[in-house]
Amino acid sequence: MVYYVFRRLLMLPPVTLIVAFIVFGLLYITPGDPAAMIAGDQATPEEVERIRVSMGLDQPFYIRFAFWVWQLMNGDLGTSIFANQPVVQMIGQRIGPTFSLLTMSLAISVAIAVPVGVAAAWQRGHAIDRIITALTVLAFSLPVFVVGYLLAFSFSTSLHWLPAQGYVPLAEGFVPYISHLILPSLTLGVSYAAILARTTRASMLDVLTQDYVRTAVAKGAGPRVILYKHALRNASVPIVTVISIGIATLMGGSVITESVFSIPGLGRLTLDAILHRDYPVIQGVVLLFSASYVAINLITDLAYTIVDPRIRY
Amino acid sequence: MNHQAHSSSMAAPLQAVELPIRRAKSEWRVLRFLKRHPQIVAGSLILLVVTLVAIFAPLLGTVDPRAISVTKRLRPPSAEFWFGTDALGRDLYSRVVYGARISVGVSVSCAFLSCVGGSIVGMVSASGRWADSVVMRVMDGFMSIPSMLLAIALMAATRGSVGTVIAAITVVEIPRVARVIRSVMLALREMPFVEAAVAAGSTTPKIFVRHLLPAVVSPLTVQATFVGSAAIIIEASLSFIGAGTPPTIPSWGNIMADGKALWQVKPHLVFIPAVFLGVTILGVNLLGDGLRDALDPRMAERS
Repeated sequence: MVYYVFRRLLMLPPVTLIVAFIVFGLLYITPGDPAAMIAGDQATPEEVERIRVSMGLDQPFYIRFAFWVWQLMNGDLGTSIFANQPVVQMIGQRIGPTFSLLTMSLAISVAIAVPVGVAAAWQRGHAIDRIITALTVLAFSLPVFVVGYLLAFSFSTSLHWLPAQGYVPLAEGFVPYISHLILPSLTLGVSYAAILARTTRASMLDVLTQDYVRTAVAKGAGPRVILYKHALRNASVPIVTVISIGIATLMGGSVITESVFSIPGLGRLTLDAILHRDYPVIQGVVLLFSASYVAINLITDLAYTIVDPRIRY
Repeated sequence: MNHQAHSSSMAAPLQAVELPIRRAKSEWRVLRFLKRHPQIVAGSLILLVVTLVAIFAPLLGTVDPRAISVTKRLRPPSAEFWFGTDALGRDLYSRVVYGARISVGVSVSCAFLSCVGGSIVGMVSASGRWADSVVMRVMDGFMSIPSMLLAIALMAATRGSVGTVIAAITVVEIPRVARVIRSVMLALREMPFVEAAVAAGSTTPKIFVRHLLPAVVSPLTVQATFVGSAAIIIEASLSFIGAGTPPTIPSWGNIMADGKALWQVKPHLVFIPAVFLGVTILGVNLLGDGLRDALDPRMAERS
């Protein structure tokens, strides 16, 4: 176990370095000269050249990459071209809403999708199963922003149950915080929950044909005990895998969701950065999400040993 | 590059061998197959209609989708403007019909390019130990970046055009296809018939093309539909946030982005393109699910 964790940790730097290389390489091929952008329209060629040298843009690719990685290891993601503010600081200001949105969405999706998937597997072939299967295909087919407008139109514009715009920090009260988060979290979670429900159903179907389930039925155990005590535990490895892998969908979708519901998070930061071609900011956000994703997948692999004690590394 | 050229010519001889035996009942077989997989029928029908709409867009009673008319802004749906007009007085019906072209074009191009690219990468990876570890680490790196974010970053790095959107989505999807192809190849490599071919003195390229490629065709078809569906979603999302298809070209994501500011007063500006988008993606997904069930008996047994 310790050896496995050590080996996995050892694998982390190469993957992170490759991600960093991809992200940095993108900046390198970007048309447009950051030095000219900073210098402004009135700058003389000499001034632009001076800024270029001061930013180290005259250095060859590998030196710039090495320097950038060195900065990265010191927790410096560079400076925003447009806002002239350290990227780390900008991300720090915006991370709260996005983190709330992602965790809330994850919690709601898992809480809904797993029981739904279990129910579909138990009622295999019956009406409930068919309805659930059809709904998951439909849910999987709707882009995040389409779901967002559907929910906002139904529960906000028509029914006036929930606010559809903006974000209220937790510090300003729990009820406004949650009420502003419900619609965006549901929106973001719909397609994720659909994949999760399908995986749960498929994995449960596999397990429910096993002999020990028949034994459990024969000894007179009720459906609740069979499903949740015997079957779900054994079906959990693929489900946990999809929970973890799907987080990438949630991260990508959060950018779009924040745009629909006007949430001032990392997504908004990214969109503004695209508009201004503020590449260091985009790099920072992409790198942050990717590093979190890699870390989450590592933790998931370790979580398998808790979920299923038969797995040993 | 070599594999790619051979892959299309491979399917033909394979069918030629199988067809004569089954010819008598082939019609019944097709009907029975379709009856058993209603998803494939439904998905194909939806896609057929959308594709026809995209191809024959100019003949479907449309006007110039970019023609701005200040006097005819925000008209409700009527006999003249079937879906009404948008904030610039452009005919929404024509815009939605022409928008199908982008979704269909991007979807098909990305599915094709990703499958070709993914197969090449997957096969290179499966062909040697050293290549495998290098290629797969790079693919791991790409897959550690959430796909929507990688697409956004790629689009931010290039000038927005339909071509760059296709390229960005293809780059995002290639690692996923490559993984599937690699795992199929690695499993096949251990099969007795491959060993037999090696023992019979077949060369490595010949084994790849004659014995391994045909086995890859069905997982590749399923992957193609997955990529096709993901491509429509990513293109629409990119266009919706203003980082995809240029605003001058009508695409469903663009039309929704245009309607964004007014959607609470004029919900149809957003919901009409949304319905087209949703139904089209549903069509691809139905086809993909159906194909997977039909081509992968293990999955079919489960459902």
